Amino acid sequence: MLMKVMRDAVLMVIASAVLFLILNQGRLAIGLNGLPLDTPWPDNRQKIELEIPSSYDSQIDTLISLEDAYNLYLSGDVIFLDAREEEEYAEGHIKGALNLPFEFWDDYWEGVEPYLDPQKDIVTYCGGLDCELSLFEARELKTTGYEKVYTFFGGWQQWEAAGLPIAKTETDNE
Amino acid sequence: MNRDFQPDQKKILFLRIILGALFIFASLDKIVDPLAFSRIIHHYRLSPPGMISFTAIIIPGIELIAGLFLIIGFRARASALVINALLVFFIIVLAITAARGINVSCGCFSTSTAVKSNLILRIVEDIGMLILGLYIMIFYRPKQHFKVSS
Repeated sequence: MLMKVMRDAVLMVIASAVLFLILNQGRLAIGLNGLPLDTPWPDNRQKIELEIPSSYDSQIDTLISLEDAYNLYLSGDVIFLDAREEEEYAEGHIKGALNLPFEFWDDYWEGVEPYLDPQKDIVTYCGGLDCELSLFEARELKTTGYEKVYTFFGGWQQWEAAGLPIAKTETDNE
Repeated sequence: MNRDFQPDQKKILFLRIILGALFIFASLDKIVDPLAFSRIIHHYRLSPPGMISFTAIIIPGIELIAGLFLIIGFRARASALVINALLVFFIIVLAITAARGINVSCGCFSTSTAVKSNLILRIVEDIGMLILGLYIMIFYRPKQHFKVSS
């Protein structure tokens, strides 16, 4: 009797799992909120203390973690700004990010501004961990009137190491 | 087990409906938005990256089927066993997370991340449901269509 109950329970788990995996594939096929099984997730099992930039000021700066950055990325309702120089950006950047090199702000600002929306989240990043351009860029944006500006200090280094979606620019784009 | 003790099966039915409905209710939000649920699993910092999407798809499915079967009385004891096993699993995950001091949204009954959960309270809730599930599993008697003389 007990054996039968246990066997039924195992069968029930397997059958439900298979059924919902198949349903999920169906939902993916017709675009009904399915979840791709190979969605890349950063490995966060080891708790990593966020390294804080030396000029970080909790009054004006908002730092976000790799997880937060990725969740925003998944939401799709966010603009990533890469504060590094164009060459570095071209070699690889967070997929969909726009290039706004902090040190050449005035040269790039006109090209970037049309894509920004004061109502939407903006995430700035740069090389990661020892690069503070992203922090300065976020401050500059805030003084320009954008309020929802966050800095992903882990930057390119953490994003790439986690194997998250990236893009490269063809060098002949210039 | 004391074979003479036979709790009223109407009472058991009532408990089955409560526990089954809780599980069905808990599964719906997660089935509608698997991405939101997978984010919550990710926030627990326990799952290997490759397992997150898989878990986010199968757990609500198992919750729904087990809850449904428990109510309609199809393989009800096995359904109660599945629910109890899930609850033990949830309790362990919540306890580990509370011990690690990680602040998460539970993802228990919804996929909202607006509020961080009180994990201890969630564990107590799960233990309450587990007691209910064990009671059903032990005392539920399927309807006898014909008696076998012993």
